[in-house]
Amino acid sequence: MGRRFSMRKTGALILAVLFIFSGCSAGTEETPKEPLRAAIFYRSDIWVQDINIMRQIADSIEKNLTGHYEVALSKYGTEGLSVTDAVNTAIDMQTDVLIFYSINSETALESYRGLKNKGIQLLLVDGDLEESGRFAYIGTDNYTSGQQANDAIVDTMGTECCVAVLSPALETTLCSVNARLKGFEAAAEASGLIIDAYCETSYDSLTAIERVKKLLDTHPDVEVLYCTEAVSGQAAADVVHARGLDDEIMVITYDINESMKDDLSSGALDLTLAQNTEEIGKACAEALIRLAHDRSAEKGDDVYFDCTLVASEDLKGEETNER
Amino acid sequence: MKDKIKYRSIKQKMFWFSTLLICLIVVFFLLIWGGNHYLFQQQDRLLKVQQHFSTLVYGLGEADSALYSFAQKSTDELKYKCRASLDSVTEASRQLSELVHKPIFVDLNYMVQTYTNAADQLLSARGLETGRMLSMYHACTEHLQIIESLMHEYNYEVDNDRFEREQQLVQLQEIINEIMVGACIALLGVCALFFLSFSRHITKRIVLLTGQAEKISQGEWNTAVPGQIEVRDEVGVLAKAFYHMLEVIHQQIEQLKRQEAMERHLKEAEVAAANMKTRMEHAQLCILQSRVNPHFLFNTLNVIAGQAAEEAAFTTMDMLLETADYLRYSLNKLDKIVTLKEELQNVEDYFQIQRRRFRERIQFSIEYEETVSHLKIPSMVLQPLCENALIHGIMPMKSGGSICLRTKMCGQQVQITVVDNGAGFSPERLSEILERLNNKDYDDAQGIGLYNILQRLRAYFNENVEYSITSTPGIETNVSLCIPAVMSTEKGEECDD
Repeated sequence: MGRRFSMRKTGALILAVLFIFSGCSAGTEETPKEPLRAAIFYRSDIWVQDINIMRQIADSIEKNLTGHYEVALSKYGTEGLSVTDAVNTAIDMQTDVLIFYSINSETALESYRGLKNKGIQLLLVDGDLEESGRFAYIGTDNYTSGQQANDAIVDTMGTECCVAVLSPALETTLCSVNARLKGFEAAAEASGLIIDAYCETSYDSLTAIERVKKLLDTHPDVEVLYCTEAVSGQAAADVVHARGLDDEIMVITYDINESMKDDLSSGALDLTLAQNTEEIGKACAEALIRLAHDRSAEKGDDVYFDCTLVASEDLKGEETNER
Repeated sequence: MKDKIKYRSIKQKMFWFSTLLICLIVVFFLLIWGGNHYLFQQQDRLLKVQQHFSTLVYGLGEADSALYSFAQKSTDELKYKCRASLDSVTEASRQLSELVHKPIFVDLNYMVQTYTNAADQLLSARGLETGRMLSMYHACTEHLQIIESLMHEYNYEVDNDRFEREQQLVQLQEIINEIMVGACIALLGVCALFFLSFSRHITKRIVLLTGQAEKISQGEWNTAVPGQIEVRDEVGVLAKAFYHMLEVIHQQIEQLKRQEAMERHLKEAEVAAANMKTRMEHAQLCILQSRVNPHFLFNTLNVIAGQAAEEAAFTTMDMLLETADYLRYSLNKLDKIVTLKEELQNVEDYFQIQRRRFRERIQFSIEYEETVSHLKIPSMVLQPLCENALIHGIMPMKSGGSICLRTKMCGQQVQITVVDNGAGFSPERLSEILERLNNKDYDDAQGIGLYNILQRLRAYFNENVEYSITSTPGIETNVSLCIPAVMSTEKGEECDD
């Protein structure tokens, strides 16, 4: 009798717990909402995919959004997508957020403004452009990275060295490269470093190599090659190494991949400013989650990341770890 | 407190096991069915995704072509065609966004909606000039181009989705196969375990019972009975009944043993009492004999016989001598074993005395074979028989009568018959006499001499005595005894006084 009573009590207790638990869970359950839709476009036809910063950032955002169903991220690898195309696509697909890079042109600005009109937030991740009416900028502080490059050159070579600046387009609308160049120039002027030559390379590697060769031919006294992006940097390293000028010419550029690590190890490349794409992606994911919970937010927090200076010495530890 | 053992019949056990087995099989088939259902669903889904994507791609081309034609020539037929294409595209993109849970298909759905909205504007602008219509068509095309620029992504995702799902389905199929095999093995295991334990549980006790029953059948009644029997099922009931029966048999055997011992003691006491009675009677006889002083009596009779001879009363002298002989035998041979010849002589003496008494009225005769002379017999058996015939048969008659004593060998036995032609017994009287003779509880004090004769003969010949009495009143009464022929030793057996 006693046992039967205790069994009944236990059953009642289990039912009560289940009831309370279901009640609590029903109470705490959030009202299902449509997820915040975000789209990011990167170039799938880019020459060196492993230094495709937009793709790296897209991958990082996707990784950091795992399990956050309040944000639905669409990743698109496209061939030569312009700002206008990206914006029109975002408008057509009625996305909530467009994650993109910045181009400083009238057309681009008009497109960005078109986004604003359609109620689509713009999250810039590669090159800041406040005029775009962006929701936030989360990415590398390119201007500061130019200063970092200047400081590294001054530290290594002093201010009396002969410096040449290499960039795919000197009058580029690409905000990231533009900001780096401006930052470098400002810092150089401040530190007394004189820029002896400017070389307009190309986004095409072969063309870039030819132009670097021409530069060295015309400026044999160049001691420092400051490259505003990776294609120019790799071209410069290739030419310097090919001519056996590893010790005479300092090459400094941006971003890092396996090929550049080899160049660093061989001495063809002296320094590179690696962008912290992993952290940028993480910060973007956090910003998107915040926006998903507060759709009415008009402005997000800007987050700037410094580049990491990587020299051949820094790779030795990494190699050891790998071994 | 000891838990009460629950009674569960074999039928109940079988029922519960069958229920459990059926449940397991149902669960097993549900699992298989669920797994297969899921597989079919997923395969169906894959086909649908492919179908909707193809419809979308084909429909976009169809819609573009139809819209271009409509922009040039706005007819109802073209409008209907445009509408049909746009509807199929819209439905396909909607289905895709629902089937493939990836954000880019939601994007595609929205892009298709945007395109459809633009196309709707074109379709609703019927009647405008061709230039305007074509301009609107180009606006639609811009939206279409955006979709087409991303089509490789969708194509890739559809392929990727199919690949991933197929991989999952293969894995699921493998899991289902493993579950099927595992469940089959588990089911078989459960069945085997149950039947093993069940048969062991049942047969163990049945074998024990059978063994004990076999011992009992061989006469080993001292088989131990267990103290407590667990009655859990029918076998328990059977065992309990069997051991209960065994216990009852044990008790009855004990009771019979006690009863037998008591009866033996009783019989011994009875024999002792009888012996005691005989000894007392013998003592009384001896006392009587000593009181009578037979030698004095015989001497006196001899003196009287001598006096009768001197007085020439020879008849008196003969009578006295015969009486003396008769009394001597009666007193000396009482309770002794004598030869049949001595016994016949005593009867002859008795007859002689009675002849002198009844003279010619009664005929006395003795017929015997010489071979019976030396056979043994307790004394004073024949004379009382003859005396009975005289007193109860002949004397009640007014005249005449004969008594004949016959002895003859009949195989290993001697037949002694006393025949008289006296009054005899009526059938009722004869039945009464025979009943009293057959009654073992008969008290000899009631006075039948024949009863005492039979008792003495039975005692001597170990009950191996037969008798018969037949009577036809006034014609013949026949009392017959049949006793074993036992030869006498030289001196015979005597009373131990």
